[in-house]
Amino acid sequence: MTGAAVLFPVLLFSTMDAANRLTAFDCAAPLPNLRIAALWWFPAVALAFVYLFIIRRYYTGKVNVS
Amino acid sequence: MIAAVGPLWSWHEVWLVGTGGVTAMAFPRLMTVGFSGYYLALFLILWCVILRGVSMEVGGHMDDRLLQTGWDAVFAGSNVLLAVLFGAALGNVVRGVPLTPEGTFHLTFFTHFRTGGAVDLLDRYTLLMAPFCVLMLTAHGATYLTMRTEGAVHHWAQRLTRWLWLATIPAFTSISLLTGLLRPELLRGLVFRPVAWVPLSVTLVSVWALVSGLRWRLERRAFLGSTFLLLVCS
Repeated sequence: MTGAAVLFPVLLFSTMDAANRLTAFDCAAPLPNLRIAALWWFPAVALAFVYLFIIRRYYTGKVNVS
Repeated sequence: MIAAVGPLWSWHEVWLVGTGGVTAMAFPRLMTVGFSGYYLALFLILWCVILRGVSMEVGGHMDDRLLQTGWDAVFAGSNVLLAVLFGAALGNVVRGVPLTPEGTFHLTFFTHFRTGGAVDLLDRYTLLMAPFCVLMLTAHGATYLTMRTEGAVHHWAQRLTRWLWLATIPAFTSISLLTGLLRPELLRGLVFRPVAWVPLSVTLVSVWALVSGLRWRLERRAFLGSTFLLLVCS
């Protein structure tokens, strides 16, 4: 995460020639696609966290192998 | 240990697949270039993930002691190899890859071990990054075990956690120095980019939470500190 914040917009460096590196602007999907993706991404993340909380409640406590 | 991980392993793999999917959606060119160039490493990662899941699900249903031991060994081996591969992958991303003007690259296991020019998956930098990642992830796992277990496993994990986190201090210092030499833009960015100060602050708070959690045996605090430390250091 720190690396992404520090190195933005570079996503992948090139060891052959610095000009060949890939940046976020080179690789990004078109804006309409990103807008559509934003619509499903938030519900999907919410679902993932709901799953986590359900598991956490169901398997709460410590494990003791006696 | 497997009982402590419980059903969380499938939740972790949801995030792994989800992260890959989101990256492919947001940066399709990066994924096409990356998937073909890193094919060998991704193939190994996929096999490790499969073996990890199968060993947990199948091994738990074995009555035969020999087969149980075998699947436990597969579980341990696949997890260690995954940590090594993720460490090598992180090292590859930081070091860079031999991208051509067409935007493609290809990596085999190793040729020379230099960090410039036509590099491969393993070189002197990634060979140091991989065991560092294994150490960090092992320390994180031991911290998790102290939170989720009691009895003999808890006491064993508690002793192991302190030694592992102590060992990460010189390892982290060495890796940071090497990374700064290899990629000086990282250090410059940390100093001159205000957006980088946010994860830097989270790092400091995470270290405080981890150290105080280990010191005062506040296991949940130590685990949360460890989690956020891994998150921002990646």
